[in-house]
Amino acid sequence: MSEAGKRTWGGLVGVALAAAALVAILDLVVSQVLPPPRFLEVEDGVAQFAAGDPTVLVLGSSHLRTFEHVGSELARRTDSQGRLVAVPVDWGKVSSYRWTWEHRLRPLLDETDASGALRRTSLRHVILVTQWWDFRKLGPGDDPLVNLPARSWTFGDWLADVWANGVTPYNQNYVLHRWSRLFAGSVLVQFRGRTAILDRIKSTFRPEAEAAALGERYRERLRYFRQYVERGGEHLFDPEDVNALDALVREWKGRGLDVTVVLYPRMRGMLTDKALVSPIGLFSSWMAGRCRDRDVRLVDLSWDHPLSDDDFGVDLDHPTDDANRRFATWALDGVLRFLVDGDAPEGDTGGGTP
Amino acid sequence: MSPSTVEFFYFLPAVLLLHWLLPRRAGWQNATLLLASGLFYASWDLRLMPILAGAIAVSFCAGAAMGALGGASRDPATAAVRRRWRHVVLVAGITVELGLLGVFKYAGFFVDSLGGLLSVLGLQDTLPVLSIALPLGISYTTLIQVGYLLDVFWERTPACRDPLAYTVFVGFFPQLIAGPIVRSRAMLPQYGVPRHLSPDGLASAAAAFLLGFAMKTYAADWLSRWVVDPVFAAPASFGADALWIALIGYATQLFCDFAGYSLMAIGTGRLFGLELPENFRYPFLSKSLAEFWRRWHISLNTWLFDYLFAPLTTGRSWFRGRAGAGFLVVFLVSGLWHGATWTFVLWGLAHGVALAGHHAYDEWYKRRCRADRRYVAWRKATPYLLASWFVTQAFFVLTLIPFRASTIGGAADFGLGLLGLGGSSPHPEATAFHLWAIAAFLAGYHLLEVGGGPSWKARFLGLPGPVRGLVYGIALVYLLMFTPIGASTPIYGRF
Repeated sequence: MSEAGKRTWGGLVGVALAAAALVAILDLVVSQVLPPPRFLEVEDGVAQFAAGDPTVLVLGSSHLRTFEHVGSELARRTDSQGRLVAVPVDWGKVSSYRWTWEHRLRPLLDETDASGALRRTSLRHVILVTQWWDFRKLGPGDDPLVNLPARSWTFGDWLADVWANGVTPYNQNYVLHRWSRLFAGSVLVQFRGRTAILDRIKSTFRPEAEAAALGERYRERLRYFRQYVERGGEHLFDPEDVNALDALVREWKGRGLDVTVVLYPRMRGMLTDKALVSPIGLFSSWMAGRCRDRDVRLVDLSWDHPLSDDDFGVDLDHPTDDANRRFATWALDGVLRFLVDGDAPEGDTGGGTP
Repeated sequence: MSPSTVEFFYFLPAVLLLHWLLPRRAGWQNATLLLASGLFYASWDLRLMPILAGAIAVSFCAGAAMGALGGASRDPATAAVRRRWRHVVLVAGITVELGLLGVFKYAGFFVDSLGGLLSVLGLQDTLPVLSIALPLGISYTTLIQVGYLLDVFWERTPACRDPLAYTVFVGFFPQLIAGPIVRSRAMLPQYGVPRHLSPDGLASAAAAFLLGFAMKTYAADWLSRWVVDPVFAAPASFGADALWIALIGYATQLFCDFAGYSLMAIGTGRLFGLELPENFRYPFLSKSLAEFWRRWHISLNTWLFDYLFAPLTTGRSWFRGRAGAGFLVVFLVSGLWHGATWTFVLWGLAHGVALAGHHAYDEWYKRRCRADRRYVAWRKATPYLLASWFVTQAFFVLTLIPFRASTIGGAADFGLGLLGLGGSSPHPEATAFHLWAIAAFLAGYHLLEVGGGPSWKARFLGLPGPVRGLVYGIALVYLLMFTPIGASTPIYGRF
C-alpha cells in the first residue's frame, strides 16, 4: 500500500468506514430475504431459569427448541401458572446435560436469599428429552465438536479447560459460540461459509435448477443419515452417559421432582427396517426398562408422533417452526397433559416402538 | 490458536490494545510481546513451553559467551585461546539446539528406519516405538537460534545483551507456527528500539493480513476440502484426470496456505511496528528452479544457502567449488527439515539433483553464449521463456507427489495413476464457481507483478479512500459468505 504514498489516519478511517458501511448495508439487505436464525441456546435457558421461578425444567439437546412452543402453549393454557424453561445443550449427550445441570442449573435451584430461604421453589417437573444418539460412545471417526458442554461453559470454565489441555477443537466451540452470539444479528456472520445465502440467490434467479439441486442434496443427505442411523447401534450405551442418566434421575427423584423421559420424535423416512430394530427399538426397550426400574415416566415418541416427514427441516433432524407449534398442541392435549392438569400420573403414558 | 482462527480475533485486539496503551518503550513493548507469545504458545501446549524456554536460554547464553570472548586481543596466545573457546561454545550451543530438534522431531524416524533395516536383514526388530510430542515451531525456532549463534561467531552481528528482546526475537507469536524464519541482523535492532505505528504501517499491515487470510481460509481450505483431500485419501481408485486436478490443486493449496499464513504473520508483525522478512515473492512466475527457490519459502532457503551452502562450497572441505554437490546436500537437509519421512527425503533428493543438473546446464549454456551470441538471444525469446516456465512449474508440481504422499508406495501409486495406470473414478464434484474464482485470484495476484500490473495496482491505490473501502467491503462480504468459520491448521505448522 505504500506505493500510493504517505497515508493519513483520516484517510484510513475513511477506507475503514466505507468498507464497514458496505458490509453493514449488504448484511441488512440479505437479512431482509434471509433473516438470521434465532435459536434458543443453553445460556438463554439458564438465564430464563435464573430470571424466573419455573415449574417445569426441560433438559436436552437442540431438539428442545420444540419445547419453546410447548412452554408458550402451557403458559397460555394455565394462565401462566405453568412456567416451562427449556435448556438446550446443542450437540449434547447425556453427560453434557449432567454437566449443565450440575454446574449451571443446580446452583440456581439451591440459591438462597439473604434470609437463607430458597429463591426458587416452584419447580415440580423435570423432563429429559433424549434419543439413542445421546448414549452413543463417540469414536475416533466422530467430529470432535460433538458432545459439547462447552456451550454451557462460562469464561472461567473455558479458561480452565484451555489451561489443562491447550486450545482444542472441543474448547474452541465455546469461542466460536461466543463469536456467533456477539454477531447474532448479522446474517453474514451467522451463515458464514455456509451455502444458505448463495442457495437463496440461486433459487431466486434459477428456481427450477436450484430446486433440482436441492432435491438431489436432500436425497443424498437422507441416504447418508439412513446409513448413519443403521450403524448407530454399534456403539450404544456409553457408560459415561448411562451413569449420567442414573445420577440425574437419582438427584431429581431425591429432590421430590416428577421426572419424565421423552424419546424425541424421529423422521420416519429416515428409519429403515434395520434401524427400527437397532438402534431405535433396542434403545426404546432399554430405556423402558431403565425408567420402569427407577419409577420414571417414559414418553416414547421415537416412532409414534403426529409429525410427517415433510414436517422435518432440511437437516432431517429438527421439525419446522410450524410443525413444532402443532406438536406443542398435540403433546399438551395428550402425552404431556399432566403438565396442564398439574398432577403427575405415574407410568408409561404413550408412544412405543413399532 | 492460529491467526486464521476465531480466538485470534479476540486475542490480537487485546494484545494490540495493551501494547499501544503502555509507554512507548522497547522494554514495555517487548514485555507485552513476551506475555502474548507465552499465552499463544500455551494455547497449543503449555507443557512443552519449558523446552522452548530452555533452548532460548542456552542460545542466549552461548551468544553472550561468544560475545564476551570476542574482540581483539594484543596477545596472540590469548587471542588463540579465546578463538578456541568461542568455537567450543558455538559447537556446544548448536549441538544443544540441533539435539533438541533431533530428539523431538527425528528420533522416531531414525528408530523406525533402523527397525525397518533390521527387518530387511532378517533380524528381529525389538526397538521401542517412539511417540514424542513435537513442540510448537521447533523447526523454525531452532534455525533462528542456530543462525543467530553462527552470526555471532562470524561477528556478523553483536551478541544480544537483552534477554527479553532475544526471547521475543526467537518466540514472537506470529512466526511460531510456520515462520518466517527471522534473522538476527534484521530483527534484533528492531526489538532494541521503541516501535511506532504509522498510517502507512497500519495500511500495509491490514493489506497483508487480509490478503493472507483470504488465501489461507478461503482458497487453501476450500481446495483442501473439495479438490485435494478426497483424491489423495484414496488415489488408487481415481482416474488420471482426477489425479491431475488434485495435484495441481495441491500445488495451489500449498502456496495459498503457506504464503497466506506468512502474510498474516507479516501483517501481524506490522501491527506491532515490526517488519518480518518476506517469505514468498510470486513463485509461479519462476522460469528456473533456482529462481523458484529464491521466490518460495525465501526465509528457509536463504537460511540454508547462507549457513549451509555457502560455508560448504567456499570452505576447505571436498565440497569447495562443487556447487552441484552443495545443492544436493542443501535439499536433502531441506527435505528432512520438512519432515522425518522418506517421502520428504525423496522430495529433497529430486530437487537437489534437479538444481545440480540445472546448474550444470546453466554453466554449459553460458559457455555457448560466450562462443555464439545467438544463444543469448534465444534465451530471451518467448518460446524459450515459456518452455523454461513450463518445465520449472511442471517439475515443482510433480515433485509434490512424494511431498504430499504418506509413503513412497503411495507416491508411486499416485504417479502411475497420473499416467492412466490407476483407477477410473472421476473427480468428486466440486463447485466450478470456486475453482474459477481461486484460479482467477491466483492469476491476478501474480500478474499484478508483471507487465502493466504494478501500474494498475498503483492506480487502484490512488483512488479515493472511500472507493477503495467499498472494494475492500465487497471482498469482506465475499469472504464472509464463502469462508467457513473453522479454519484448518497451516500445512507448514506440521513441519
